[in-house]
Amino acid sequence: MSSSSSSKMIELRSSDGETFHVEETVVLQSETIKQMIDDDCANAAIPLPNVTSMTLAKVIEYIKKHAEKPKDDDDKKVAEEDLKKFDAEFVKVDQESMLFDLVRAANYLNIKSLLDLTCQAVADSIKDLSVEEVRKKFNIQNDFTPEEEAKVRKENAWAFD
Amino acid sequence: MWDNLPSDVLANVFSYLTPCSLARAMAACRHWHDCGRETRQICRHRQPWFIALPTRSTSRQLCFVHDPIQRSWHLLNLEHVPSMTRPVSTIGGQGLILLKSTGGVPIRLSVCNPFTGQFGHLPHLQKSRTNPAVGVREDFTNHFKLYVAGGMSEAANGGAASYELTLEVFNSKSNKWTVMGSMPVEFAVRLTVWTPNESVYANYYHRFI
Repeated sequence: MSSSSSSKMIELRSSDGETFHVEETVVLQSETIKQMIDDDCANAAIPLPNVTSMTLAKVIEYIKKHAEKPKDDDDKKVAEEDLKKFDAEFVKVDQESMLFDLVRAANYLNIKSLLDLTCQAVADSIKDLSVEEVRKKFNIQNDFTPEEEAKVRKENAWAFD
Repeated sequence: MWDNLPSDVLANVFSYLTPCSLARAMAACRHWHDCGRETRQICRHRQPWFIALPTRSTSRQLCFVHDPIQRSWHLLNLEHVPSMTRPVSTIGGQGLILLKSTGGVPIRLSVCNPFTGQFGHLPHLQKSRTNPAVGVREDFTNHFKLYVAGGMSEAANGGAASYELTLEVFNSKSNKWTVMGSMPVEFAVRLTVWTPNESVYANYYHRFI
């Protein structure tokens, strides 16, 4: 391991056993990993049993992009615009399950900006759907009794107009 | 899969929904329904909804809301609100309604979310009083302040009730009432007798009308 703190690399291991090497400064965006490093638990590879290699690769792509520091004020504006574009593209995933995995990973790794971004993406995909479409899209089992469901719909009848 | 998302994460998702979309999402399953009721920050989306309240008490509690995106009006029943309460004002940035107790008892303020059906009392005032002036101040964060001034304090030891001279401020961030100071008795009389519930906050001054 390098002794220089600026280029110190942290090793992460996904649930399916793949390892990733990421700079410590980048990986500190994860409060969970930061805590592990602070507690001196990061001498060996950090196991992330809840995150698959596919999801982890996406997460690393995100935190690397968000760790880039602009050089000056002019650069800062350009970088902010660029980051907005990146975020918008980042959540355009083909499958709902990928978005779900990203939400779970952001929550587990405690990366607030990524959690907010992915939660908003989920909300955007819910907003125009009917109840039946929501259930179908998100694979939700309707566990209301018929009476309960009638009551819930009556409570919120205004939204079903 | 999505029906077992942790509540706090789901609440985060719900906080980005408009009231309409949230109401539909809440009908998906029990977990989403319960979580939706707990979602407080309902107006994270950019365009605020307009909430209209009846100024006189009606036989049933209701309010009208306007959806700026669909450009439609909805009538919301506030059936979950206890009967001896009356709306005071909206806390618009939060999509909430401020209510007060009625019937000559010392005032107790409460807040309801007309969209999700959540209702809750605020803590008791430091100085118990009837009929004070009540004002709402919102800022651009997710918090609000309430101002309560004047009113009649309860008669002590069988004596006559007197005007309450203190101004109290409630901060939703700390969920606490704080006594800010006293005012001359003529102000307290004015606020108690002549002020309904209208007040204006402008340029850092809170004005009771």
